[in-house]
Amino acid sequence: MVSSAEFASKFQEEVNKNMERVRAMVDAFVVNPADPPMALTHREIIWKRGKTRLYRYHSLETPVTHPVPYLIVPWLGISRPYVLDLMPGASMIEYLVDHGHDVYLLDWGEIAEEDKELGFEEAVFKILPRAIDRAMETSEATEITLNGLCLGGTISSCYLALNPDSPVRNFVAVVAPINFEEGGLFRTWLNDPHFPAELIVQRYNGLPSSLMNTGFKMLRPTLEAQALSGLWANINRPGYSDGYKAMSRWANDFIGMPGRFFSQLSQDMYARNSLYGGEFILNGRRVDLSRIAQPLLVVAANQDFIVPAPCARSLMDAVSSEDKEYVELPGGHISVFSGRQAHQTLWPKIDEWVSARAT
Amino acid sequence: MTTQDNAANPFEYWREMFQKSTEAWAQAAASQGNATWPPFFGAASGGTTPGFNFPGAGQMPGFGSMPGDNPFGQFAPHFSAADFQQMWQRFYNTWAEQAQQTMASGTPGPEVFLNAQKQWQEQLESMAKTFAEVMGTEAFANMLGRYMEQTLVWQQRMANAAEPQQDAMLKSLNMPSRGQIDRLFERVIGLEDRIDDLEDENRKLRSQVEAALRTPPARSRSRSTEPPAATE
Repeated sequence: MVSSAEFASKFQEEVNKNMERVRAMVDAFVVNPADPPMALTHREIIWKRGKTRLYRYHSLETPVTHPVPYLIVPWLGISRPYVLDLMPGASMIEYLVDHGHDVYLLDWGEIAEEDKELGFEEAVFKILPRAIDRAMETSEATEITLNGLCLGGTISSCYLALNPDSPVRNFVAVVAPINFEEGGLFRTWLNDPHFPAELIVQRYNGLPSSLMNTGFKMLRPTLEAQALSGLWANINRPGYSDGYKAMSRWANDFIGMPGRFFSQLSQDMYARNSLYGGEFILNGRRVDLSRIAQPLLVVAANQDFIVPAPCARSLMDAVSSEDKEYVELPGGHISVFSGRQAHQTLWPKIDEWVSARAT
Repeated sequence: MTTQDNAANPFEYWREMFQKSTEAWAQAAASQGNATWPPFFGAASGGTTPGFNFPGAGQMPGFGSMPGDNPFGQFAPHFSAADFQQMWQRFYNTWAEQAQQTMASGTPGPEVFLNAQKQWQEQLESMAKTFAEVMGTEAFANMLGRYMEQTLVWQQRMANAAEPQQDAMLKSLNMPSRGQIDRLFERVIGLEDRIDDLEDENRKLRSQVEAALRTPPARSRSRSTEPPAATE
C-alpha cells in the first residue's frame, strides 16, 4: 500500500516527467523544427545512365581493407535510398565503410512518368551488369559482393539466375520478396482480379507516389500513431527526436514506380508468383532461381508486414548454393536494416559474414 | 462561340472549358448511375452507400451492417468517413473505459501515466491487428480493386473530356502539351540510353584491344581459314 505522501510525490514526479516531454517536444518541433543533416557519408559518382547513379562511398579515416567491393542494390522506385545513409551513427553505409568495406550504392533515381518503359529487363540486362562492371573496374577487383535490399534483392536474384558465370562472389538478400504467395496484404490486394494494374499504368504511366503512399499507409494504418506514441515515450532520450525527424521525413518521401516494372511486379510477381514458380520470362529467357550458386545470406525481419519473413525466406529453398545461411532478425521491413537495433544485429552480421568469405 | 474564337479571350475560353467539363462530368455520372462515383462518396448521399460484408463484420467496431439500398452488392464499402470516425471513437472509448476500470479497481498507483501509455500502445497494437484482419480478406481486396477501377475509369473519362480543351488552350498560348513534353522526355531518355549503350560497347572493345595488346603475339597466325601447311 502506497502512503498518500508517497503517492503525491510520485504523482508529482510523473507530472514533471510529462512536462519535460512537452518541453522537449516544443524544443524539437517548434523551436528547432529543421530536419537533421542526412546522407553525410562522403561519396562520389562513378557512373550514370539516365537517372541512375552509381556511388562509391569513402571513409576519411578508415582505409579499405576488404578486397571484394560491396555493391548495394536497393528497391526500384517506392522511396529514396538515403535511408541507408540516414544519419551519422545510424547509417548502414557508414558502418560498412568504417569497417573497411569498399561500398557502392546503385541509386535508381527519381522515377517519374517518362520512365514508364523501365522494367525488369533494363534493370537486369543493362543497368545492374554495367554497375557491377564499373564498380569492379573502379576498385580494380575481379569479383564483387552483391547486396539486394527489398525489390533490389528480387532484381539481383533475377540477374544472378540469368548470369551464373557473373563475377558476383557473394549474395546478400535482405528482406527481398521471392515467394509472392507469402506476400502478405499486398499479395491479397494485387491478386484480386479487379485490381486495375493496367489502368493505373495507362492513366499515370506508372504507380504514382501518392498511390504508393496510400498503399503503404493502408498496410499499417496505426503506424504513425504508434510512432508518435514511441516519440512521446522516448523524446527525452538524447538524439531520439533527430532520429524520429529523419526517419519521418524519409518515410513520407515516396517516389513513383515505372509503369513496366509495376506491371511486372503486380501481375507476374504478386498475382502469378511466376518468379518463385520458375515461369518468369525476361527477354525470352526463363529466370531459374536454382541457377544461383553463390554463397548466400538471406535476411528477413520477424515483424515485416511488407515482405513477411516466409516470403523472403523462400530464396533459401530456390537456390542451389551450398553455402547458405538464413537469419530472421527482430524488427520491421525498414528497421531491420536502418533502425537503432540494426547497429547491433544486421550490420555486424553482414560484416562478419562477408569478411569470412572475402578471401 | 467556338474554341478558336475564344483563343483571344481567356476568360470566355475558361468559361467554355469549365462548362464543357461540367457537362462531361454530368454525362459520365448519368450514364453509369451511382456506379461511376467513387464509392466512398456515397456517404454524403444520404446513407444509401451499401454495406461491406466480411466474416466477423458484425463484431468489428464501426463495421456493422448498413440499412438502405445496395446497388454494389456485398463487396462495396460502407465505411464512409463518418463510419471511420465512429470506429476511432469506439477504439478511444474502449481505451478510456480500460483506464477508468484500472483507476477504479483498487488503489491507483503513481504509475498511472505509465499504465495509461502502456494501455494506449496495446490498444494501437490491437487496432493494427483489427485493420490487418479486415484488409486481409478477399472481400476487402475485391472492394478495393473495384473502387480503384471505378475511380480510374471515372478519372480517365474526366481526362478524356478535359484534355482536348487543355491542349487547345496550350496550343493557343503557343505552349507544348503534356503529351508533347512526355514524348520529348522519352526521346531524351532513349538518346541517353543509346549513348550509354555505345559507351558500353566502346569500353568492351577497348578492353578487348588492350587485352590483345598485352598478350604476346601468337605464332604466325594464318589469315586464311585453311590449316597451316605441314613443314615437311
